Amino acid sequence: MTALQKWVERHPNPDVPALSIAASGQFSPRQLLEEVRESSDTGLFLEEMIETAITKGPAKLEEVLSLFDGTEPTATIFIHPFITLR
Amino acid sequence: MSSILLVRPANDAVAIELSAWAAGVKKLAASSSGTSVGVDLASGAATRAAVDLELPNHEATFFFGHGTPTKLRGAGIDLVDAANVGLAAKRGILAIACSSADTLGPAAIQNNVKAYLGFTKKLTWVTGDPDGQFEPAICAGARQLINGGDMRSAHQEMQVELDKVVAYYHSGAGRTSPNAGLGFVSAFWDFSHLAMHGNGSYTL
Repeated sequence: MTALQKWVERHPNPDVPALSIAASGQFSPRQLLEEVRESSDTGLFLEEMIETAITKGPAKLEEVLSLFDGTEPTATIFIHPFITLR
Repeated sequence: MSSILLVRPANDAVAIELSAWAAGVKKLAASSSGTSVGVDLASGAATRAAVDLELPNHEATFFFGHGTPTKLRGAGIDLVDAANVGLAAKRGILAIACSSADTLGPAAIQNNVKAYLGFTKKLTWVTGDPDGQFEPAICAGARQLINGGDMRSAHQEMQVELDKVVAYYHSGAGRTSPNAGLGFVSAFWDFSHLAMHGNGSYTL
């Protein structure tokens, strides 16, 4: 199970927008998971970032997911504008 | 006095934010006794012709904008790529941009650029840097070079500062920020994909 799948499972309402990515708008956990399933660059990039932080970084999965649990739609990151977004 | 070529196309919201960071670097250089921004190719002034003309004339080029593995980009144009990076031979390049240290960095060294510091993957941060973490960390290398450090120490300083951002969002005061998740994974991502090529002893 991926980090995003676990995030969706634990999220109180996985359909409510939970974070925002500048190039592609607001996403709920479930939407992000769909993005990954459809091989969208946005979802894959976020998942890759999370996986990198878990496998190489100082945090364990539960810690990373708990950080995301507090994220609100005002928190945004830029995604490279040249990538193709669905 | 050493001269820096500053290139900051500011061609969209992402590049505008990076251009503002570059303005801070320019201000620091102005207060430095040994270094100055000789030419500032900002916004529409960042053309391929201007970059070609200026690359050989400065000890270093600082680029703040969009990048790909093989190019540094302006508004619909390639500003630095394998065809012109050799114009910066015997000089240094700092690229605050996505991905360019992947292929363009090694190509620069093959074309006799002394040192290249940048990112091998997408450069990402929390929009507007609301917690004041990313700009100081990502600009730390530029500050180090302006203050007389070499490229190796610029690389190390960026690593140290990005690691502090990781800790800020993971276990520090930023843990309660609504940006904690994105801030943490973004900072660790940038930390993981910072790369230097060439001679680490290079100084301005």
